[in-house]
Amino acid sequence: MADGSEDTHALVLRARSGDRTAYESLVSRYEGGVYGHLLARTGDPERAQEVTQDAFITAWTTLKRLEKPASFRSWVIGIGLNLARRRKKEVANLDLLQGSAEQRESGAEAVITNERVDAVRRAIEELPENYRDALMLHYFDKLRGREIGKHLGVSEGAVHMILLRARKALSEKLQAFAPE
Amino acid sequence: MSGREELELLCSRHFDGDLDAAEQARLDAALATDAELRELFESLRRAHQGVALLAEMHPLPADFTRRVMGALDEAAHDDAQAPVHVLPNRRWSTIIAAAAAIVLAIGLVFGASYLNGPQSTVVPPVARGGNPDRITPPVETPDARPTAELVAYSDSKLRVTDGAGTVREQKDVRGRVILPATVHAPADTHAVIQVGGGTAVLPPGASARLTDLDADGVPNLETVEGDLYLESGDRKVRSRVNNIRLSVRKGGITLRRADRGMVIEPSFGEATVGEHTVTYRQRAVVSADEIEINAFPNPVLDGWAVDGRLDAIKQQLRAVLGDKHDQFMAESWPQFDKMLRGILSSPAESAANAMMMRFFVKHGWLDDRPEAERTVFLNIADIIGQGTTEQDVPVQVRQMFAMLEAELQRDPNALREFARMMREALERKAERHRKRGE
Repeated sequence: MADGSEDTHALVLRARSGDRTAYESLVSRYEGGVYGHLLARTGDPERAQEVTQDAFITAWTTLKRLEKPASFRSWVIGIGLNLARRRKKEVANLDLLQGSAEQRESGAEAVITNERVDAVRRAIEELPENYRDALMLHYFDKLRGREIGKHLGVSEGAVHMILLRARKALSEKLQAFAPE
Repeated sequence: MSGREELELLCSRHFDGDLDAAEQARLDAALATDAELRELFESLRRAHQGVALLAEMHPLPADFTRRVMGALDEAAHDDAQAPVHVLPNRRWSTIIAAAAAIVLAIGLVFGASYLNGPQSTVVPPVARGGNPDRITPPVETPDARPTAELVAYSDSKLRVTDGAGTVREQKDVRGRVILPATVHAPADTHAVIQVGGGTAVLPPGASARLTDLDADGVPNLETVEGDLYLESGDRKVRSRVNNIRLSVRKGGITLRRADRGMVIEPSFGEATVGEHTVTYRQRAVVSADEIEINAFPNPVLDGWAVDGRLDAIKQQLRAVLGDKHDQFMAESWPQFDKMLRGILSSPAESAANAMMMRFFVKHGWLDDRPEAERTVFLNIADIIGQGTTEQDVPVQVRQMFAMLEAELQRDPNALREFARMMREALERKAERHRKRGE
């Protein structure tokens, strides 16, 4: 079934009472979007996966603290971003070493692709929050206009307008990668 | 909404894949005649492809939900046993991911040692010049001429002429020679000389003279023809240029012949030239009558010098691999070689890798392997870390080691888990390398 805030609300209530199947449905539904946000923030797929997993585990253990069950997705994203920030401090410059090791392994083509992906990631980070959310819901959660609207609290028509503006803004930031 | 805005929306919705046939036809018609709209369409395509690439290039694994639920169980189990650890494995995995990146190349060396299987017979490791316990200092011969233990090797025959005029031409020369002794590198490849607690590399066709200049038991090596690379080990390596003494206290230097005199470039660390100290990113030009020291922002270690440093590691690997050596060199060395060059070109990475290798041995990582193999592993750590000190290890990496030590002291069982996860991480990385190589 397509996602909707009411379903989410019901699933969260069931999960709170210990229903693991309900929680599994929530994880399955939102893991893509949470991961997308963390990938955009960290730029490191392995770390983003790890933090996504930890965010869902933390959410499970603190589910009773969630005041608005329908906001489950944004709540887990918030947990994930906090974890990512904390972990970044813990391993700070190890990234540099890891990056240099990977760089040595990579061919020129892979480096170019990685640079492009990194530029996209940084550009998304600089977008206004509602643009970024709309893009994440569409590309990572694989949601369509109406479902995105439910999450953002706007109409389907407004979602299309937000996506248009988000793409325009993103394109401007990616001018450096325009084909010659 | 204006007609223009509607068309722009159609462009954007095209990439969402939700235009019906009539809307698509309207968009196509507009694009055919409206250059400005086409430009917008292309810019939206770039944005769409960019985000799609981000999503597609690093997708979540198909079984991610199952993994999360499994980790949930694990966390619940750990909570029951040790409430302090909410997510022990995940925290470890962060450390391990970083550690695995540091020891990527070493992981392959380590993996190589298993080629012969758990029952392998390891030949005694090759002695290294860098270990003072294994160096025999120059001694006086009955006719009062000093001698020294020489270790020199090359892929082709090198020539050694000692103070008595004895000439030896072979790939590997080891033994006591009467000083002064001159080592000539083959014309087609470099040669390596272990000297005075460090390593020297001669480029093809070059030669260097081994003397006991100070009659103090520590041999010196000075260039006779061509260039020379000198790298300190446990002790200083000493040389002489135009009657000016120089020593490498920490790091490596290249002595390069130039029109103005001999150029001395530290590739890392520092050297003493006469009364002057020459540090990394400086170089000294020693001419007949003066020493000039200049800034030199981008020192580059010559290929032949790196080759020589790698040779010392190859010697150690030969001891571990035994009859599988040739197979390893043919199949695996090229990738290993590439990564090691990267590591050896950075003092920070060299020091970090050496520290990690010693950490492994200290915590029993190789306890199930023969003693000789552990010695080889430590010798390779010495070679990689040669010329660096613990201070060269980035402070964050040192902090990581401190965290590891603390974890291991708090929970002795963590070592087993750490070893298991570390091995898995290294195996995954080695597997990725193998696949890339195929």
